Amino acid sequence: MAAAPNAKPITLSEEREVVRTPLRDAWDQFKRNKLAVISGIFIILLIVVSLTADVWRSLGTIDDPNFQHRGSSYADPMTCTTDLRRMNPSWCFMAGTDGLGRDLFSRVVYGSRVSLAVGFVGTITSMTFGVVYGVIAGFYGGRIDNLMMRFVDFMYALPGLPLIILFRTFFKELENYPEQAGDFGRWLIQVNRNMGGLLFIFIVIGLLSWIGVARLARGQVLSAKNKEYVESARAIGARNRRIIFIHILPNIMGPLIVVAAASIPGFMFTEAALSYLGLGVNPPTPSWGDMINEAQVRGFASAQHLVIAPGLAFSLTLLAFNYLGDGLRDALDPSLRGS
Amino acid sequence: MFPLAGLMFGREYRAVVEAATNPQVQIRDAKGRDTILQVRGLKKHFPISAGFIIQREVGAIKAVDGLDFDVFRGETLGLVGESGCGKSTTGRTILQLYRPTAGTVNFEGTELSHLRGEALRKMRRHMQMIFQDPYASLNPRMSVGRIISEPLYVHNIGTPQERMDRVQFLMEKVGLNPYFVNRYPHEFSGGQRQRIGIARALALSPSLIVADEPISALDVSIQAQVVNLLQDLQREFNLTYLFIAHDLSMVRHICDRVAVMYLGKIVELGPSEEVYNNPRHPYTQALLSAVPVPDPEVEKKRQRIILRGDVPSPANPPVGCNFNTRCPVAVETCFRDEPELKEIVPGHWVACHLSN
Ligand SMILES: Nc1ncnc2c1ncn2[C@@H]1O[C@H](COP(=O)(O)OP(=O)(O)O)[C@@H](O)[C@H]1O
Ligand code: SF4
Ligand SMILES: [Mg+2]
Repeated sequence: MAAAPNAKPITLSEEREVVRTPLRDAWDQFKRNKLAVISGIFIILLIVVSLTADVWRSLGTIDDPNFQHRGSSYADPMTCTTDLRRMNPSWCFMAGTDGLGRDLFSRVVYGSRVSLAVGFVGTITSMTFGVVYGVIAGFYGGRIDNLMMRFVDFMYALPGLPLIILFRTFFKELENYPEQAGDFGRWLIQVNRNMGGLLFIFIVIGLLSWIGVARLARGQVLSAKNKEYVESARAIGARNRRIIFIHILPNIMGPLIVVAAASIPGFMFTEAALSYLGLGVNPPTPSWGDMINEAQVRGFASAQHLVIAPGLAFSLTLLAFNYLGDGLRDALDPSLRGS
Repeated sequence: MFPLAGLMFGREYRAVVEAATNPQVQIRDAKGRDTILQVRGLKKHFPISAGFIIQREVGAIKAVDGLDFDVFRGETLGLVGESGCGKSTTGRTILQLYRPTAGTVNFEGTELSHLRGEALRKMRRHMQMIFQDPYASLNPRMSVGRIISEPLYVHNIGTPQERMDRVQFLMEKVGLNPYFVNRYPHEFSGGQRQRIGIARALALSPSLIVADEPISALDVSIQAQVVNLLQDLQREFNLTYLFIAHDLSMVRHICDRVAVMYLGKIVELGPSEEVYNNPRHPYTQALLSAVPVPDPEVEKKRQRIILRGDVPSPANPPVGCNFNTRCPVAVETCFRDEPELKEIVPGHWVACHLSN
């Protein structure tokens, strides 16, 4: 093709080179998975909504989740009532009300806080513990590894549920003595209270479920540390710390992130299961698990709308995290991609 | 400030570094040659352990089982042998990437097997390695610039700008376009990646480089280029190579001397031409008989010595000469006594009962 006479010559400075970093490749790969992108956007929106719930409440978009509208128990969705607290005389229950006359939609919005919080608290706790533990075991190997992994086997055999019940009772008692705690302790107790008493228990659950993460991290480190680039780092005189943080961790991050994303819905499920056992949030804190449980106790036949809003929110969130996890796996797990 | 102008010129730079950190000791052998590396009785055994909670050692893979050799400054010593005979283990044990089970490695007057921690780490700048697999030996999460400058960084040499200058210099030296300094390894071909690995090995201006089959993983068309590059660099930077290869014909072209390994031991060592034209050990003879000769007349007459059986397991080597299970000329003593590596003619060492 002949160049047009007035075509602009390409100079080096104008030629913006796109550097193809591994992260950028992963992002391009991720973008190709539309479902994962939509899920990611959904989750970001959910996080924003849950963080800004108080703003919406002050704007009057949603109601106080614990306010009991007298005479409006089990109201159907889209019924309206007189709201005496506001100048606005009419208040409409988008998703109906529960037995105490509390607005279900507002409770679902606030309930996202508990679900997201348990998901992240559990995941962060188990990932932190598991990764540190697994990396140490895998990197130092030998006798240390052997001992550490025997302890993991021991943890594996530990019965989870009785321990959780035990700790739940213990923490419930603990909350009653904030004056004996220091500043940080009081702050923790306050956060715990806002989470309906689930902060401590999900730290415990996280501490009970790092085993799988530790095994995964250890296995990844074992295979990464035999790679020639780790050996070459040693050959040039890199210290252990550099080898772990620069050469091993960045290369095993992919599978770990995938596992982290996949474990979030698991902790959300645990919250619902605990509610079912009566070990869930302290009333009146709204939580999806508790709301679904309540709907089930009342019987779907009498008040079907009770389950619709929390059930929908819960399923959509679980689905979103699962699709996001799938997308991350395709994008980040090098075993599924050509290097 | 550190006189980093010298960084640009490998040899001068090394002189500066060595004067500052490593008062160089010259070891001269009986003939007055400058020995950069002296390996004596080197063994590396990998324990085979079994047991669930309490691990017991039930045996050992004798990957390297008693090596004695010297490497002279400025030469290229080839280390050849079939896959699995312990060549890579030898290279790694010399560089203390594996700690030796027994034996000594004396490098420029320093006993490496006694060095630990920081002392060993500091010593590493004088000896480097080029790896076999250019796809596995570069961290996929690091850009070329970071890979090549990492040795400078870990040894705290130069300012960031000086390091980048050095990277550019090295990239040009190994035939890479410095424009690609921010690219990642996966954007390069195998040959280019191997050049990145070579640049990294050169960054600290080492005196000894262990090249572990640096061309085996490359396309035949690129092998010669990389070999030529290594030879040019050797001349320019006064490097000493321990060149590992699995095929004798390649080594002849590159190496001054060659050591043939079989099952963790050196069976023959001598000047390349001498070993090539006048192999004394039955194993070397068999290896060479498998190499095609370009001359069709000679090729027609070439007799292949086919070795029977497989290489025995290094966990359980034969008693006596470890080649006795496959040797076509083995005699009774071969099954009883282990032959010593002896100097048959000056400079030519053979470990065989029949070569006296
Ligand atoms: N890290 C290791 N652990 C256990 N055995 C090993 C290890 N590295 C090498 N070996 C064994 O030692 C022997 C020699 O291996 P290697 O030095 O890699 O041979 P080469 O490089 O000549 O092909 C082989 O039998 C191999 O299985
Ligand atoms: S010592 Fe015996 S078995 Fe070993 S190579 Fe020589 S002849 Fe063969
Ligand atoms: Mg090898």
